[in-house]
Amino acid sequence: MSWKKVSAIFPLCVIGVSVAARSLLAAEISGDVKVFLEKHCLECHGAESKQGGLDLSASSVDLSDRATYLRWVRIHDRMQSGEMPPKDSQRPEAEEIKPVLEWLSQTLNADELQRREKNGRSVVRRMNRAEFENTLRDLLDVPWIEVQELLPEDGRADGYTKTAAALDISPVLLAKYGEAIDKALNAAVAKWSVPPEVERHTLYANQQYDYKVLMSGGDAIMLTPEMKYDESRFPMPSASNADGNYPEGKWQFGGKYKGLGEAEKDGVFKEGLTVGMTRTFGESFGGRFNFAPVHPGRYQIGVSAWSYWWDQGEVKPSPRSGSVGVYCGSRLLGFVDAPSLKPTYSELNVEIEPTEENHLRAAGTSFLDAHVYFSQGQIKAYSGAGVAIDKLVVTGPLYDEWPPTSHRRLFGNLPIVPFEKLPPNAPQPARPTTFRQARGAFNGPGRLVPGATVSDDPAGDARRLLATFLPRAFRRPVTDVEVQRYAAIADARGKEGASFEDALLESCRTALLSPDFLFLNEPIGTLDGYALASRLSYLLWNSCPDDALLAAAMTGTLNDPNGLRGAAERLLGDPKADRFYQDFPDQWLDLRDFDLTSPDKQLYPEFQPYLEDAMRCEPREFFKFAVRNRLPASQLLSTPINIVSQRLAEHYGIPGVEGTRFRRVDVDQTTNTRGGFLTMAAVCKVTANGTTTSPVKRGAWVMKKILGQPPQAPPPDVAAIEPDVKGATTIREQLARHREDTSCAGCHAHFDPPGFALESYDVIGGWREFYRATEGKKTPDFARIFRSYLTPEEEFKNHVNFSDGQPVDAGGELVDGRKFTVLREYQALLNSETPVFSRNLTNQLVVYATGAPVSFTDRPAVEEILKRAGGTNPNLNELLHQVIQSPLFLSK
Amino acid sequence: MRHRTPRTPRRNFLRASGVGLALPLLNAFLPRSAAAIEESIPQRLVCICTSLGLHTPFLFPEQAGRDYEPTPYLKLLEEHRGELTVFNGISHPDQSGSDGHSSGMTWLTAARHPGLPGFRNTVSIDQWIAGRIGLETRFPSLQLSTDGSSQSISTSGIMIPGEQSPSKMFAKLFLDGSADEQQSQMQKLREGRSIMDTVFDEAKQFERRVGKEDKLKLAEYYQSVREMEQRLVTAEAWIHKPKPQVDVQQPQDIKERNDLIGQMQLLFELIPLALQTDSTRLITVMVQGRNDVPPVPGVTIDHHNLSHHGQDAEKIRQLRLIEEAQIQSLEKLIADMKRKTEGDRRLLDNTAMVFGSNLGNANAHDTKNLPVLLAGGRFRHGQHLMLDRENNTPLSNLFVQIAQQMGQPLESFGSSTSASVDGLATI
Repeated sequence: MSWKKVSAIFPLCVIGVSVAARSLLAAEISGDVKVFLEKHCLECHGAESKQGGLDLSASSVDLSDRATYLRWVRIHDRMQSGEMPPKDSQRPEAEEIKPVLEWLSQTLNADELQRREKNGRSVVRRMNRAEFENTLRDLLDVPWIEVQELLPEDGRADGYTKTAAALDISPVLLAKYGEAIDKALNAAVAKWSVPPEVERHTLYANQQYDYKVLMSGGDAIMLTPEMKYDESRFPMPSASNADGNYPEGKWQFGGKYKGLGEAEKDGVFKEGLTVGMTRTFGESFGGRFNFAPVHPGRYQIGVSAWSYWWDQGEVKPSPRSGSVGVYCGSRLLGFVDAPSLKPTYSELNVEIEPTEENHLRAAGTSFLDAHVYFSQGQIKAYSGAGVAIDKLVVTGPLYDEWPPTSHRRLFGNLPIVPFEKLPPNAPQPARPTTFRQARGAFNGPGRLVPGATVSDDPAGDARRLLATFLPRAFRRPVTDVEVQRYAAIADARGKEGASFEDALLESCRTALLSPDFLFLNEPIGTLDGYALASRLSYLLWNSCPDDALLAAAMTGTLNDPNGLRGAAERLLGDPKADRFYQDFPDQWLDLRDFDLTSPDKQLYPEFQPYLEDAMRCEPREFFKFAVRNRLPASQLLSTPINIVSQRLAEHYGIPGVEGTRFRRVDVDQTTNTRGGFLTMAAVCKVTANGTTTSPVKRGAWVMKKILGQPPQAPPPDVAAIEPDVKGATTIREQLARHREDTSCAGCHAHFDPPGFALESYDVIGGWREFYRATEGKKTPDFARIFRSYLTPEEEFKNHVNFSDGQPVDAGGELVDGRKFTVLREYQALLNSETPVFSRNLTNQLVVYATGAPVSFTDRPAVEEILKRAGGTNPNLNELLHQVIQSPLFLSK
Repeated sequence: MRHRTPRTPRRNFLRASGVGLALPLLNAFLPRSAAAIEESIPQRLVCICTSLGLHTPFLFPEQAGRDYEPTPYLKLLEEHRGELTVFNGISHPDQSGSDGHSSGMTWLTAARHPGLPGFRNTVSIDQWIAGRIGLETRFPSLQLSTDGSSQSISTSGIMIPGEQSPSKMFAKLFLDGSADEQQSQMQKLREGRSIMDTVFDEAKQFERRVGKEDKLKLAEYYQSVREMEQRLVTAEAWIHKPKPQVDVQQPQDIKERNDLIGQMQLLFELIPLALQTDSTRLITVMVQGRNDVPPVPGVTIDHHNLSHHGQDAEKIRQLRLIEEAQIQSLEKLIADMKRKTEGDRRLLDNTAMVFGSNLGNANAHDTKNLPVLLAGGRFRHGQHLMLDRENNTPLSNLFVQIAQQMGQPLESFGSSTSASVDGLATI
């Protein structure tokens, strides 16, 4: 009906019909609408002038086309807000606009409602790859499994990987999903009849090969338990005894030993001792400890470390607390504290999946680009910050029970029988290689007793086990017929001679490739308890419901508002909710693009792995704090509350924060604008290109992500501004030329100002008064920029190679004429936009939670959510609950 | 897509054929292009994209036509001047997308506004051709890549991942597994087919419970399941046929992830081998510059950063070193393709090779005036083809012309406006 109605009035360009021949003016349009459009719109938006790229006479009216529908919504909105027709034209009377708006609104609604009747608001979708990985982890209880890398990247639609439009299916994808499923199932199966032995090792730093090489090369020293350097016990290599040049003009292995082997033979490393180093990761130093996990599972890794100031042979207090990065292969396990002269033992509990190169590794974190802290083999003559590692204590793999839960999820309590005790002709499971041993690690797999899961009643057991497995996998009850169908696969494989284990896995593999597993299926209309349970868990855990949530679905608890609220609270309180706290801001604010650019090393030497990790964690920690502490929405944009670790606090110029732990620190907002998403380092990074910032990009980001008013794409033939880091011109000067062009100015006036306000923050979110430049003579006040890298005498002694470029000007003028000179003033102005921001945030949550864009028709429902959550500045926890309680969430 | 030959419905075919299917029978079911029947020598296409662009002031000569003065990059290719066309003023229209590099996914498809709302990628030129001649070779097409991505896009608009490991690709192409491995591979394929059979039926059950638009989404799933089955059947048929033997050792993969040039050279070395053994006729190569420093002498800054040189002379100098190393790899590949012969022709004559980038000026993420070179494929080469730098010629025009030259009845593709590029003649 709607389509016909529109085309009767705009019988213009429907796909494929010659457009030029007919125009809006020539068409038969009856009533007020035609008169209105002719009078007020066509002069600028007709075939000739096409201002803003809009030609109403050639505009498609096929509302089933997404872009066309959105264009008409935009036209409606511009007219409703009074922005169009523009101020300087002859403005129509309000009563003249009203019927036009009503008609447009009705038409747009009717089209959408008609669509929904047949299909609901959303379209059935598959899991995205993060959901898929989490679901395999949770369903099979293999939390260490990593399969995302196997899968092609998901598309994005409406900014998210949560809607059907973004989630295509292809044969390649299916094949890759199949590989991932195989990997996860294989990981879940216990292959030994008794658990692998638990390894317990204390690994002293001075006994590790990498550290020995470092010491003999003169970039580290052994330290006594009294935290002293004792030359008589541990002679420093002669290579580093020189005050300046190497003894014989070139580096050589030194000391009283000719080589490492000789020193070892002499027992220099016999006693387990501390190593103080001045090198960090990345400077040809891997920091490997001679242990590499062989079995997947939970490991406990303890690290004892501290920091100091090395002063040409003397150990002194460090001006700042250091930290140690702990890795397994290339995977970061965590950062632990190394306070000044205070050996501190920290424990990490981690899930590890062995890979080819997976030595445990540990070393101090670096503050500036690598070469700066490099003592260049002459540690005797060197002064600088150092981190000492005493030892690393590893325990694992740790299992709560055997067979582990992962195995029980598939095989229940069936026994695992050692191969040698199987009947002579019994089939054995065909298994891919189960472990790989890293080269150079001293540990082996331990004593292992290979075994297979056996069944006395394969047909009966298959049915019994699948009747438990399938409802978990499909997130709903299954019928006997379904169980029967999947069990038949195992039966058939068994008849062909496969072992029971392989046969049952075949059924499971098939189930996990079926649409019942891969797709989040929802019935049209109000969701039943199970569909609701999945919506809730994929919102808050990015994964499948647990048994308790499925039970709540069965009893009907979820259909009751209080029951639903209780379930949501429980999920939000679970550690798995970190996935939501991470993923929602990641997707909403494009933070997942964090790694796409790397800052120029010359200009930003302080961008090091530890800082990078802190920047990556902050949005999650902040958002989690905000939701759990019921902060009002406006505080996401401006707040004294910062959730920071030491490294991040140093980066932000917030004094007095020590240690790797994230904690709340409130800043004085009159002197420090830091706080909220706008000033967050991760945000500054994703809105810059790595080398330079662009107010255009940042401004457009604020408009789109924060205010929900995405600017239109630039006209096709406008050349982008070429970045210039030599320091000759500022981006503002380059843009000024751009903005003089009237056709550009209209849009740029909207989105440049917020970008200008953020100019005080550089590409990694550091505060700046001058642009950093590769050329130029002005030496920056390094001691001020790099406060955390000063010597105990408060001097900055490192070599950093950039200059002060042009000064930063963070002033601007909003499109309504209000002016600001610094970010703080812009934030104050932005405060008046809180209702707009809250509405946008609600929209974003709705898209993320329901997997469908917020359409024109959903607007009243969004307003209702806001009203129930407390109005224009709702508290975030309640807002989330009201999204969950809204009809948009409760029905497909 | 628009010239689909009617086929036996795949599903019926599967049901009827059983397992131990012989190749000739398989071929009988396949559509064969007219050209392939006339020509006994297969026609191939190789497309190589270096996605961080090339600094075009070092590429495009000043003079148009045959008597151009070679630029720094073309000097390196001077040996092949007569076998090479340099296009200047060619690109895909409307490539502004969700970010500066999104045109990487549309270099071979020409789909407009990559990554923006409502965007859906379309089939890439190599996959369109593979849809017609792909099943005549063991591998319908190959995707080689330094980072796992590729420009090959399936008919449903999905990227086909690229193989990063030269040694794995070599094994795939030329090494027969042991009898046991083949047996277990057969077993896996059979299991795969039985799984596909079951999930297809499950999907039918599932479909009963969903809405109208949902069904369209599910159709993607069906289609995928069917194509999977088809691939498994084809794969089974090929297992019985020994792989071609080549007189070359299996390469060792380069472990240093930052060694872009080394990786691309190893991948390049596989190209003539795969083509001459007729293992495939379509190859795409993705050379994805990285955020780290490649071990090219004189380079100290990471590649992506260098591409955003900001007119910094030192960065441009270093960028040139990397790009020259890339061009040298290309030079070696062209020489290889000339050295190998089949019948009285050189391998290069039967292979159209496109080398270029989706970025015209990476410093500004500009997607106009792309650097594009064409070698081989029986075109009249030897010139710097100066086109309109203001109103670019659609790159799709070149795709259509190449496809036609390969004997494919393609009349238009992507945003093509003509079936050939003005000034480019065929032999």
